[in-house]
Amino acid sequence: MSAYIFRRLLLLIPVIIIVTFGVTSLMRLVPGDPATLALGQQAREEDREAFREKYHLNDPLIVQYGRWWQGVFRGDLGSSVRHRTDVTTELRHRMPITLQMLVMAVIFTVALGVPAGVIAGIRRGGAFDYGARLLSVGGLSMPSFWLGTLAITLPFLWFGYSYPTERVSILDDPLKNLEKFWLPSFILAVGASAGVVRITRSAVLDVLRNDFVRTAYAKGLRERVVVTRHVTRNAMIPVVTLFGLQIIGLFGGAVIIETIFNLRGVGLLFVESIFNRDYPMVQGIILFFAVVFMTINLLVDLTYAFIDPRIRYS
Amino acid sequence: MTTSDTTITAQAASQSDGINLYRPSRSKRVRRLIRTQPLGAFFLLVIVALIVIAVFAPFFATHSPTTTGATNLESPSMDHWFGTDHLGRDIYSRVVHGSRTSLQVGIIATAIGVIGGAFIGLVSGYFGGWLDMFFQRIVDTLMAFPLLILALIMIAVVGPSMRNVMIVVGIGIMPGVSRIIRGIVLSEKENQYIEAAKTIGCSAPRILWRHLLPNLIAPIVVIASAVMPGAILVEAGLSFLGLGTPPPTPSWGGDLSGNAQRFFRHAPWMAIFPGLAISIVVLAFNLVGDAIRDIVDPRLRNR
Repeated sequence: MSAYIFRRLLLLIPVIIIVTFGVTSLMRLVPGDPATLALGQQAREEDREAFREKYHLNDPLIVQYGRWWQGVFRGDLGSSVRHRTDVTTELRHRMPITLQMLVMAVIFTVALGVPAGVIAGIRRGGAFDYGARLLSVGGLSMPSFWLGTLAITLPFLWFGYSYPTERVSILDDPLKNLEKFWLPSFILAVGASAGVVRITRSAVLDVLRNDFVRTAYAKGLRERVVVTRHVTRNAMIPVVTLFGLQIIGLFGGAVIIETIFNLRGVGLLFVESIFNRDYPMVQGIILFFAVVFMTINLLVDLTYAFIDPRIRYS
Repeated sequence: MTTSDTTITAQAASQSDGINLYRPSRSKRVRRLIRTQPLGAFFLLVIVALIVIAVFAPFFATHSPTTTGATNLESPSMDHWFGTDHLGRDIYSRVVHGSRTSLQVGIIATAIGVIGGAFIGLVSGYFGGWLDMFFQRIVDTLMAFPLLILALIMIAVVGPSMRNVMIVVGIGIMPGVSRIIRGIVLSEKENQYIEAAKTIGCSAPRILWRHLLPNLIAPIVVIASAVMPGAILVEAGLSFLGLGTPPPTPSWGGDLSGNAQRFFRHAPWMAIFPGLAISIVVLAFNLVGDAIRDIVDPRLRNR
């Protein structure tokens, strides 16, 4: 198992190199001069030149890339061209926001998707099944930014409820904090749980056909036991696979949702940095994303062994 | 265990070799389609209708989508069916014209992604070796990122325009498609007919084009119908972030973004209709995609 993990971690290296080098070279192709963007159109040419010199923007690509890696090994991702802070600090500020939103979204997704999928599967063809399938196709089809927009607009029109604009720390005022966070997390969870419902349902249908399920019923186990112990557990492998992909997808959703709900997390930072041509920031965020996504993939693969002890890694 | 190599589509697609020599008449097939896939058949009609609307948009629209003549923020009326926006443009006409953007980008991006992905998958799976290794590491890398983030990165480089969005989303689709196709090719190339083709001296391109590809058409159709809704949603998302189709071209995602947002509380119709349009299109493609998958692989029916 540890050999397996080690090999998987080794495989990470080429991926990270491809990603970061690809991004470094791509970002340099971007039209627009970061010095002009940061200092404004009226800035004197000397100032711009000094700016470029300061952030080493004149060096050849490969030198910039090499210098960036030197920094990464010291835990320094460079300094933001736009924010006048360093990338690591900015990421550390923004991360908790995105993280809280995603964790809550994951909780919503599991709480909504798995039970609904299991019930739809075992009551196949029933009213609940049709309802769940209808809702899940609908959930997959509605863009999150539309749902989010409506979720802010309609309650205001109907009940005069204003979604809080300011975010407070969960330590200062947990209720206010949750009021700010539950809505974006829920909207994110709508799409994700729709996918989970579908895959859970079809996995459950697969498992139900097995002989051991018939045996379990035949030896007189209560349905609740058969469903929770025998069916659900065996149905979880495809669900976990999809779920890993969904969590990664949630990061994509976060980019949009943070924009709508004015949550200053990593997603919003990413979009802003792209608009501002903040190369170091974009590079840092992409490295961060790459590491996070690869880790999630690895964790998903390792989870299989917990669900199904027959699985061995080689 | 492998990583997320196999998806449901892959399993569905790879198992599709039902051969039916009996071919009923067209009207019979249509009637059977309606009976077995009522939802799919209905939404297929919806898609056809949407394509007709998109092609003949000026004919269906009641106003110009970009003229700012009318009163601002007028609520829906007989003259302006969906109301007007903050610039006094007719929202119904913008929604009608927006279907062009959405469908065009969705269809062309899917075509680019599926053709490119199928090509990479075929070559990578058939030749194997270092070529396969090379492609698959890149695919690994790209597949680690969600489509939207991938598209954002690329759009940041090439700049937002409708053509660029098509290309970027197409490229974003390729890795997933190529992974699935590669998997099918790996098992398909072990068949005797490939060996036979090799023995009589067929060149590799000929084997790929004349022997392997025809056997991959069914899974490719399934994959194409499965990625289409995602492509449409990503276009809408990019436009929403202001990195998609630039204004004043009507785009459903774009009409929900930026400045328009400040007016939604006074003019909710501005928010409702473009989003509804996206949802209907994506829903239609989702349901038709499901129907196609069921037809190609009847074992998955009702799942």
